[in-house]
Amino acid sequence: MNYRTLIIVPAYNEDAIIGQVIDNILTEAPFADIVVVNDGSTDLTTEKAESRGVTVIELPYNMGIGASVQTGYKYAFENDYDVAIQADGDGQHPAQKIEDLVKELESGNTDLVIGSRYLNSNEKETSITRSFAKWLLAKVVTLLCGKKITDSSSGFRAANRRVIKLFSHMYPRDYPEPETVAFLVRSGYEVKEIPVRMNTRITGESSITMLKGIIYIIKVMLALIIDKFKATILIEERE
Amino acid sequence: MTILQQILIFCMAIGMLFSAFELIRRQKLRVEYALLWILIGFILFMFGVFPSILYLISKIIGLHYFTMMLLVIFLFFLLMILHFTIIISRQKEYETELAQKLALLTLRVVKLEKNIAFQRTRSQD
Repeated sequence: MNYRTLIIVPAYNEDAIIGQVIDNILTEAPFADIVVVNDGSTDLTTEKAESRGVTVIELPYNMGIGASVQTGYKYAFENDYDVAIQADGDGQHPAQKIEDLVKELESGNTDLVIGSRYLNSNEKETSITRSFAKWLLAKVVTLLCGKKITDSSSGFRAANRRVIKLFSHMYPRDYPEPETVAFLVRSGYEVKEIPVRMNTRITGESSITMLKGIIYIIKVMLALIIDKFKATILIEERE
Repeated sequence: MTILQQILIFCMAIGMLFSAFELIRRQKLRVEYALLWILIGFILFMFGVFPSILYLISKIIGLHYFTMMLLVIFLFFLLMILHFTIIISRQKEYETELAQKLALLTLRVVKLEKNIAFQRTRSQD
């Protein structure tokens, strides 16, 4: 582990669980620094996180997941980290897999490593709609970027310096994961997936319910199609 | 055009010009946007005072029907709304940038303050 690693934990009103999530990361990935991005929480998220001695960035108001995570990438860029990993504040992402993600990046050749729930997995989905949504999204992403991506909506992923720089300049606001994956592949970045098994949520509800799920899929597909026509920005040249 | 219509348009024009002027005076509207409203007000004013201009225009571009005129006005408003949504999107982008920058700078200030306080206590010892 020679890489300086930053773990970005976006959190909005997660004080019931944030301490446990941080403790878990501290034991499973002691080599990494943690930054919690508090997205305008009204509870004790900041206090709970700071009591663990991790850095907390406080956003002035609730800005949404995209802007929160991007703030983390900006922090990683400013502080010259080699690797930035997203890990949600609700404890679904398995901290013991962080090391695998970093190792994959250290081996070179890869710019973004995604922890995929569906790669080499024969677990049955909980409902038909879910498995259809999953299938559809995978098909659309694969079709649009010309590379097989099984779990583009996974928020558990690691980015190298090139991608950190890119994300700190541009990052979609809502549902950013699939769009950024498609964009990266299309712009010639190397994206790779490794299989992970997500934990079931410890507390709180998934932000995606049935109706929201349908809207999610439609919005994501729209964003993906629009993205296809966007001009590719070469950040390297912009600096 | 009846005299009543003419008076109506005239009053609308005066109202628009007056409110644009008043909003600039109270610094509620930036001059660059107020110019748009003043321009519209001025055009309406001209139509009210010289309705023959309206007839001339409709003859030149071949708009003989009132419904077509409505469509043109509708299109004009659509374009304006589009213009405003572009401005709103840009503002939103700036706002996000600023808020993120603020959050990151606040963190740096807090860290610096802690550092300074730490060094002070050490030099006192």
